[in-house]
Parts: sequence; C-alpha cells; structure tokens
Amino acid sequence: MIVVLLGVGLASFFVLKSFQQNLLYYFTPIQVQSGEAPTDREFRMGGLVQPGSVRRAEGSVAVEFFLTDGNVFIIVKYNGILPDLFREGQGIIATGRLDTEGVFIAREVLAKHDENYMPPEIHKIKETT
Amino acid sequence: MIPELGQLLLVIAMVAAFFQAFLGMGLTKISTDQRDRLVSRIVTIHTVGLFLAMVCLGYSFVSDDFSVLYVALNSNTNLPVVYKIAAIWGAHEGSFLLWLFLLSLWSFLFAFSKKHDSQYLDLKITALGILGLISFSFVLFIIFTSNPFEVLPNPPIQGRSLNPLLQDPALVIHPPMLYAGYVGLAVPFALALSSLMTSKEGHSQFQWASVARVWTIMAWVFLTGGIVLGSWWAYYELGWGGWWFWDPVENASLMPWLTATALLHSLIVTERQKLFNGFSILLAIISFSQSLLGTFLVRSGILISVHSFASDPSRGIFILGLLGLFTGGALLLLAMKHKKEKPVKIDILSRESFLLLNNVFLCTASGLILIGTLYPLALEMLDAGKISVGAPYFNFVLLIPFLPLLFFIGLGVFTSWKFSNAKIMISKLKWVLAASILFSIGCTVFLYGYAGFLTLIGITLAGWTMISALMPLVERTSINTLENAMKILPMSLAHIGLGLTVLGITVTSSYGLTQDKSLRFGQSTQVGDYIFQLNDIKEGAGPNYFSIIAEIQISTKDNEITVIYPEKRIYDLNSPAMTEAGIESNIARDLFVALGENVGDQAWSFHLQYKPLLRLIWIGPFVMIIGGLFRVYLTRPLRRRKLVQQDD
Repeated sequence: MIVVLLGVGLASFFVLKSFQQNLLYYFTPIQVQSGEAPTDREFRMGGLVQPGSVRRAEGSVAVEFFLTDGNVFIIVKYNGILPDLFREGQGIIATGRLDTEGVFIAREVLAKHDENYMPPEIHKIKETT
Repeated sequence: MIPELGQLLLVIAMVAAFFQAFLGMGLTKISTDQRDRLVSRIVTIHTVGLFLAMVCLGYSFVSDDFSVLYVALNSNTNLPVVYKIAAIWGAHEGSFLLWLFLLSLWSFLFAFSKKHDSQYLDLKITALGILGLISFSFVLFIIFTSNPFEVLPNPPIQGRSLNPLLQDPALVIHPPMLYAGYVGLAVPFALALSSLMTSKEGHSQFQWASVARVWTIMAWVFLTGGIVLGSWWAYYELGWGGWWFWDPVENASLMPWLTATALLHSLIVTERQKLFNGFSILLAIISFSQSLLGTFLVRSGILISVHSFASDPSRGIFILGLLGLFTGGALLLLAMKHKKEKPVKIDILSRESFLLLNNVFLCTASGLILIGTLYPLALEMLDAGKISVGAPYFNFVLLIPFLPLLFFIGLGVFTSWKFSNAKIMISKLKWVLAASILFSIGCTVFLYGYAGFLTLIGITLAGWTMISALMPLVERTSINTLENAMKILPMSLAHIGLGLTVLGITVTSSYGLTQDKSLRFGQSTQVGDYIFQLNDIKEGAGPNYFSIIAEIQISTKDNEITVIYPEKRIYDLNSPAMTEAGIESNIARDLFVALGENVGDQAWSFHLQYKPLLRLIWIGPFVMIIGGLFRVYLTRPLRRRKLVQQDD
C-alpha cells in the first residue's frame, strides 16, 4: 500500500514538475518590448511579419525579420527552413528565447495553415491593427 | 433539384432516426418481436437515406454544381474527379454528413449481424434505440447549423479550390477511417447503456460484453488505421518530416484510442470472468465521450492548432451540449442502474489483475494527454493568459504510465485466470528478460551506439513486449494444435505490433539526425553516413499545379543510393507553395529532403533528415490491425464452431 502511494505521489510530482517546465507562455511584441516576457526561458511570440523586413544571409538558411503587432516590432532571427506559408504581412507564431540584446532567437516558426485558418491570437492582432 | 433531394433525404433520415430511438428504447407497448422487425426496417431507411444524401452531395461535386454553397467553397472544375469526391469530407459540413452516415452504417451492420439470438434481442433493440438517439441529435445539428446542401441564389461560375494540402491520396481515406473509428465506439457505448437499461439481476448483465467486444475491436481497428494514416500524411505532406506533433487534433484521436484499447481488454475480463462489469461500462462511456470530445475539438475551431480549419462558435456550443448530454446522461444511468457486483478476491498474480492494472495505466495516459490538451483552453477561457503545452511535456509525462505498462504487458502474458504459479512464471520470464536485454545490447553495440539510459530501457522494453508475445506461440508445451495457436495469434500480433512501434519511436527519436542547409548546384552536405548532393533545379507541371523540382543525389562513401526529387508545388498564384518532400526509405531508415526556397546567390535551402527505423512506427500499428482483424474474422468463428460442437 505504502509503495503504491509513494509511486503515485512521485509520479504526480514528476507530472506537475514537467508541466510547469514545459508550459510555453504566449506574448505579443508589445508585451515583449515592455519586458513582460521571460529572459531565462522559452516562450512563444505571435504577430505579423513586417513587410519589407525579411533579410537573408546570401546563400544560407539564416534569416532575420521584424515581427510586429502594428505598433512595435521585435527582431527575430531564425536559422532554418521557413514554412510554406511564411510571407511578408503574414501572421506567424515563433517559439524561442530572447538574447541579451532583446533579439528573439527562434527555434521554430509556424505560419497560419491555410486561408481559412488563423491562430486565434493572430486573428486578434489583425482586428486591432 | 439534386441539392433539394439531398435536403429531403436528410429530413427522411431525421424522421427515421427519431422512430428508431422511440421504438428502440421501448417507449411503446408493442411486443419485442414486432419492435425488432420495425426497428430493423427503420435502420435500413435511415442508412439508405443518408447514403443517398452522400451520393447527392457527391453528384453535386462531380457535376460542378456551384449553386451548392459547400461545393462552391471546396471544389472547382480543375480538380481531378477523385478529389472532387474526397472533397465531400474536405470541410466541416460534409465531414459531419460522413460522420453521420458512418454512424448509421455501424447501426445497420449491428442490426443485421447474425450473432443476436432471441436472448439478446432486447439488449440489441435498445442499443439500436440509443444509436438512433445519437443519430437524431446529429442530424438536427447538421440541418440547423451545418447544412451541406445550402443553395446559393446566384451561383458563381467557378468554385474555390480545395486546400492543396488535402489533395492527397492518404487524405482521401484518412477522414473516413478515423470517423469510422470514432463513431464505431458508439456501438459499445450503446450496448453498455442498453445493458444498464434492460438487464435483470444475475447472468444477463454480462451479455453485452461478449457482443460489444467484436464491435470495439472493429472500431479500434479503424481508429488505429485512421491515426496511422494521419501521421503518415503529416510526415510526407506537411514538409517538416515529423510524424507526430502533439497537436490537439492528433491528441483528440489518441485519447479515445487509448481508452478504447483499455475497453477491449476490460471486456475480455467481463466476458470471460464476469468481473469488472462497471469498469467496462465506464470505459465504454469514456471512449465514446472522448470521440465526441475529439469531434468538438476538431470542429468547433477553439484550438490553437495547425489543423483546425472552419470555425463557428454556435456549432461548438451545439456539439458541447450533445457531449454533455450523452456523457452526463450515461454516467447518471450508470450511477443509478448499475447493480453492485459481488466483491471478489482477486489474486495479484492473476490475468485479471494485470489487465486491470494496465487498463488503469492506459486511462492515466489518456488523462495526461487530456490535461495537456485542455489546460491551455481552460486558462484562455478564464482569461488567465495564453499558454501552450509543448511536446516535451507529453514526451516526458507519458513515460510514467507507459514504462510500467510495457513491463506489465510482458508479465501479464504469462499469467493465468484467477491464479498463477509464480515459479513457472519466473522460470519463463527469466528467458524473456535475458533475450530482451541481449536484444537491446545488440542494437546498441552493433547498430546504433549508446545514446543514454532511457534509450536502452526503451529498446529493452520493446524487445520484452515482442518476445513475451512470441513465447506462447513457440512454446511447445502449451501449444499443440493449430487451433490453440490461432487463439493466441491475435494477442501476439497486437503486442508485437506495439513492440515494433515502441522500437521505432525509441530508435528514431534517439538516433535521428536533422539538418537545415543551403546548397548550390553541385554542392553537397553530409547527414550521418549519407551524402546529399544538389544536381539540378527544374520546373515541372501537374494537372492543376506547376512546380519547382530539385534533383538530389544521395550516396554513401562507397555506394550511390538513389536520386530523389523534392518539389515545391504552386496550385494557385494567390496562395503559397506546397512542399512535396523527397523521401527514400527502406525498413532500416528513412532519408527525407524538403525543398525550401531560393535563398539568393544561386543557393536553395533544404531540410534534410536521417531517421532510422521510422517505418516501424507505421508498420507496428499495421500489425496490430492485422491482430484485430484476425480476432474478428478467424478466431471468433473458430470459437463459435467449437461452442456449437460442445452443444451437440
């Protein structure tokens, strides 16, 4: 009996801990600029790709662009293949962390999936801009 | 004309479903025999009605009738005929019609299945009544919120295109498979409720279990197939080369799969040992509720998800209402009508206790996924911030139920009903354990190398699951006839399939390699032992798209392997390109190349992957499916014949 209880307790502890560690919070560029976003862990940031802001290192997969909510923008750096639906003016969600200079280093970039679907957060941004 | 006919057929189906519910649940005072005859006829009308409604919608698609709103939104004249037909379930309204048609088809097959002799009659008719009630609610849902036959007063000349992502052979059969699995779980659900409503004290309360078992297996087979097809499609079509994303929509299909797996194991105990009846009923209720929950999550559009397409809150609330109604009603019925089972002492070393234990683990796994899927939604609704639960949560937390689950599967195979001899168990298990450790060491030393303790555990448990499932088949003492082997075969296949899947997942995630890289003509890059060289970039064209095609040569140090052609397809100038990955695969490994874009300086970006044993992730479930089909089509007739012989 005690063994079972201990086991369940230990398992619950690990579940809660893992839950805590792996929650990804979502922030908009304005929240990031005002310092609401954490600097010590990953989070997700959603917004529109500022038209004209996408820059590439010639001949490499490294890319840099501005993510905006209409008012402020955050520089995003990403080293990898961009999704098919990634375009300027398009809503995207990036997962990653802030570096010391306030640049968002993305580990993953997701774009909206088709014309009919848009992540709810991005929908809100579009409405307010 | 045709859309109006479709509409009319929906109304006919609605009326039929209503009478099916009314008569089936015994709300009239006519004799059981009469009810049986009437209900069977009504089920036929109901099913044929919905089938013809599907045909009407299909006809509208094939004949490019853009006066139908749904057709205008999801098809155009350039679409190949196969995809015009598949477009029936390409979006919300039509996929619900399919959902409903499949539900009626299950009811039809159930109504006319031979198994039911007179003593089952009441159980069967009442279950059909409950299925009728479910059908009725969802026909109402379709007619009032999601009518696929809505007509446009001024039809456009050309329709919109079907989402190019959906123009794919796997996606032609993936939704029907998955939906067949989802709604198939309505049959055990209906049987469980029917048993609560009709059975008297004593023996008859277990009858539902033996009937429900076959239907659960069939639903489970379809659900498994649907999930695998979805995963396979995501792998080659979404362009990322991943096979599972812990997307809420995927979770929505995995949760009922886990509980349905628990259900079909629990039913074995209820059928054979007359135990855990309440637990089986509860599992039947939970499984179907999770199907409805899945439908709600996918179709209400409340998810932050790469899958969620259409959205309309009124629909969501309607489905949520039905979910609450059916789950709540069923649980209430269980609380009120369930007859207390006699307390039985169960030996810890018995098959029933191991099955119970593992069913608890399966439910735990399902619950952990539920928490991770719903928690972000709940927080958002409470305006407590936006979060998402990442893949690391699921990957880690599911180890907690799954590691012991796999361990106990191996043990459980060597138990007997009621009581097992520990000495005999240990004498067999030590060989299984030795063999699986050898297997794991062999994989590490000779094939892949050491990649952490958890990987070693994963491979050992995969071996443990497979070898323990094989043992009863090869053991000479317990197997002396083909017939005995046939009895064990379904279980063996299912467990071997699970072991293969676990092996595939472990090896792919531990030893897989990924690289994002830009390449110029003639330039190459190395991923693991494989060298990928860009030879050429060409232009091409298909029936309704044009494309950019890269020619990539793959070789190892000593051999040339093949040339593959990853593509970028443009279906429509207004929408972005679609990635068609180039894949070279065999059972040992997958090589995956997705073409990115022109990154300037005559270079193109590529996403490259080496994934060892990836195929096992889909082959494993396929083996499980064969196990399930064996059980239904080979083992069961065999058992029944034997019963008849005993009666003689």
